[in-house]
Amino acid sequence: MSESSSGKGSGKRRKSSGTPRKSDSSSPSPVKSPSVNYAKLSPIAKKVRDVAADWHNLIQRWEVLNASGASVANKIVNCKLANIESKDAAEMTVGQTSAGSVAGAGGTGEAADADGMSKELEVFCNQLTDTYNAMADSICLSQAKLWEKMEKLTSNLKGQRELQQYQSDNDDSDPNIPFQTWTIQHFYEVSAELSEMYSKELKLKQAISENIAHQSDRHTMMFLASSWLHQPYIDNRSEILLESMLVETGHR
Amino acid sequence: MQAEVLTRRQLKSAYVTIEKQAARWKEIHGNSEQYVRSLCNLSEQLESCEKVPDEAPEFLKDFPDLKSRLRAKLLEEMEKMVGKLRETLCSLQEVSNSVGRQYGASMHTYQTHAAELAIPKVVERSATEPSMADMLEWLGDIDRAVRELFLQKQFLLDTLNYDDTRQMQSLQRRWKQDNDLDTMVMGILAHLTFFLQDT
Repeated sequence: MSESSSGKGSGKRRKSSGTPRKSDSSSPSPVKSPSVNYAKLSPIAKKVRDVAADWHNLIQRWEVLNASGASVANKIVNCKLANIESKDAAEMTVGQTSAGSVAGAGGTGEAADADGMSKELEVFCNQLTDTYNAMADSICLSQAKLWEKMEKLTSNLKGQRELQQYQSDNDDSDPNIPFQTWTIQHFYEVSAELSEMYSKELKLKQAISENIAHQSDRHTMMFLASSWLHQPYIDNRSEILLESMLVETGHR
Repeated sequence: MQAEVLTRRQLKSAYVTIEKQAARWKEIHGNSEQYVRSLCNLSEQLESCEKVPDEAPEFLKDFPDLKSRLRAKLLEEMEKMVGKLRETLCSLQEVSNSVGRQYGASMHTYQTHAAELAIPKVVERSATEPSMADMLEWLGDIDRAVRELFLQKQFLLDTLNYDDTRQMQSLQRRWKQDNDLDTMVMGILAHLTFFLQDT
């Protein structure tokens, strides 16, 4: 506790004395906040700050993976659609030729050709689908790894909070605010909320990636692909939460 | 004599502005097409989202609210796109207003000097320059065409229905309908090549 408050206090002193610091130049904001003095932060505040930075990086990586996953999902859908259409077309030609070749035997050869072509196409498309499926799986996997990290961050924060609580039990004059306004408790809550959103989204993505290649209905496929792209379980709140966390910890 | 010089000078500056504004219209409009395309795309996704059978497949049992959430997300994206189109509309209105001002100013200059300008003078044309009457009329034509196109687009956006995929498809087709304006302005400016070059 004493560390935290002394860290803040000395930060204010250093600022008022106007000593040039490296961290000051990196801050674009004209308003200097006490938290800008990173070197003098308490260990807990430093950890929280790192967690916020990690959140930012992880979410950015998540977004990149999401975009590439969405393009893969689109390719799968297109491939499946082309497959279905070519099948339909093949069936039609088969129907036409068999109807037209009642008299002559020439038509049967053509029909066999069309049939063979559609089968070939199907094999080809299935190969493609398998490849894309594997890719989608791997993306899902890396997103799962990302999520694991996110979860660790949250539990890290939880530990911080408990430590802080324990410390403030010994001395209740502690303000329990490592930066400007947020308590450790608040950091933990935000982190937990983010992690909950992403875990739900990850489950959805897993379900989509496992099943998208096995659908045959056009609308269901489109539905799954756009669910992947638009991330329905990640609220708009997540952006605000992340940004305010970054602002609070002095990253922005 | 003075009256003719003044009117011609005003017409010339008006057409110089028209040339710039037509290029601006084309640019703004070209940029807006991507928004219309993504709007169409989103409306297709929305349609698929609506048409997905109500009894969710087995693997989506854990996500009962997926459909409504996705719908909300899609509508939000569409709102964004329509917002961009509204911005585009504002820029197009600026162009339209600027063209209208040029027409008004030219007519005003002509009308103040109309008493001094004899009719033969006004309709006199040469091999290189059209008559003042023609030029005024063309300005009026351009002004009307631009305003009509702008109002058409405004109407398209005002009557937009997010749930109607067919309307979205027709939006994409109708939004693009302004090649006529370009051809028209280019045709008129072609008549004025020598007039505008002449200093």
